[in-house]
Amino acid sequence: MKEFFHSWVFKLLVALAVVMFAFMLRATMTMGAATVLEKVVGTVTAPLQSASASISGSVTGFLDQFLNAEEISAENERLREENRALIEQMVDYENYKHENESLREQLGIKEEHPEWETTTASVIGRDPADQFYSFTIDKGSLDGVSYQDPVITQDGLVGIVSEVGTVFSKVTTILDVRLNVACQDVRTQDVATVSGDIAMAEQGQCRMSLIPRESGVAKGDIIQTAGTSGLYPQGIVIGRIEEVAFEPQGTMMYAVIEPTNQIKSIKDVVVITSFQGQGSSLTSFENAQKSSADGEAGR
Amino acid sequence: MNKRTKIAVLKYLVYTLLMMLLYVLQSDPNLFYIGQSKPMLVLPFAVCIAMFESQPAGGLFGLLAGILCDTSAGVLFGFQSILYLAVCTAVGLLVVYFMQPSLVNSLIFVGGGLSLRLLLEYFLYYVMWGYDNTVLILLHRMLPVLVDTLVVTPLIFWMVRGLHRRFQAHMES
Repeated sequence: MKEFFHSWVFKLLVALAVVMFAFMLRATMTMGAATVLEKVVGTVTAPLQSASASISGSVTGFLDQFLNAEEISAENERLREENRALIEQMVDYENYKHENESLREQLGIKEEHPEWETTTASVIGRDPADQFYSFTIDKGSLDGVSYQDPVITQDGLVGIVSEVGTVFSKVTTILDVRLNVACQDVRTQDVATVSGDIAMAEQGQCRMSLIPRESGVAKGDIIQTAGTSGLYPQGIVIGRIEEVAFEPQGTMMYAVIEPTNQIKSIKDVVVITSFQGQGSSLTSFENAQKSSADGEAGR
Repeated sequence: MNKRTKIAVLKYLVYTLLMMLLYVLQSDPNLFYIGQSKPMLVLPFAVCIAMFESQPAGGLFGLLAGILCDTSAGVLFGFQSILYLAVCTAVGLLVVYFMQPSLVNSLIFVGGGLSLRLLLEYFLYYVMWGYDNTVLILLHRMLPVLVDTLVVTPLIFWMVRGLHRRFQAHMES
């Protein structure tokens, strides 16, 4: 064995480990931008992953019709119930809309519709060892995707772009304990924070924290992004409150949020590449970090 | 280039392509889910190569496996590359000097290597930051990945052993 440690092979392997350590240091400095090596590997593997995900998605989709017939039937029944409730809400909505329009006219308020620039993407990879269902999408800096762009579906918020390569990006989901989203209760307008929770993530749920004790948030309330952080546009639905409780310590409350998206099995997403107010509330350090990551990803 | 060299080049090319294929299958968002977890495929493959092809090839394929895993994982790039390079080099050395390339040993090596990777991630990414209920990650997310990986390891062991023997026979003929 002593011979091996004196051989050129051992020196080569040590040199490779040192090179990888250098890449690791580089990755810590340019958080959010893929390293050169990662970009090369990602560029080679992304088309293969994309093809594989497409084929396996079609096959499993076809088989699911037969395997999950009972589940689909139950879901159908639940959706019928939900539909009936929605029709009732629709009647109320129309009444409120009419009232709102007349009020707007009276007050002369101009509605501002911030224009979002978006790109659609498909999920092409998931790491088996990832705890919070983060995934890789088939769009990168070439498609205009940048570090910390919000990722959504028609149902609501999914997460945020946490790393950008040339033709791929990694997305951290709202189930991740490292992600915090400023949120707002649609009914009460109370502002709080949604983040991942290890225990809740197993059920596909997340946690709404820092709710004031005097707040009127209740089960069934819809939670949306508050738009105060500059990372997400205001008004993207996050989920619905399942349970409200007091924090074991302190004077605040927390709520269990059922996201509107099935994050564990999501297949297609939309990345918001630009929106009004993006980055407006970030500190100068965070902005510099984002710009640096975007610059690195573009190279 | 003589015949032996040609066969050796072909062998490593086949290993590389298989590694890529296993990576694509491993990261596929639709395949191989057992409950809510799925197995790691490239680490057992690299470990088995290290067992049959000795430490230099093992170390290099460990590095490749690590780079591929780092590309799709949420951990810092380089974390798995360095770890798998060290693990597979150590496996190669152990097989050359102390142990046999057997199925039981492959399970021990894969189990040991993957446990090391998962435990490091567990301490560096969760325990160190003081999150609540971190033990749930260990028991409900990491342990199933380890078990799933150990279940598929024999298949990968037999595949690598078959390929190794086939190429070896060609070289000797």
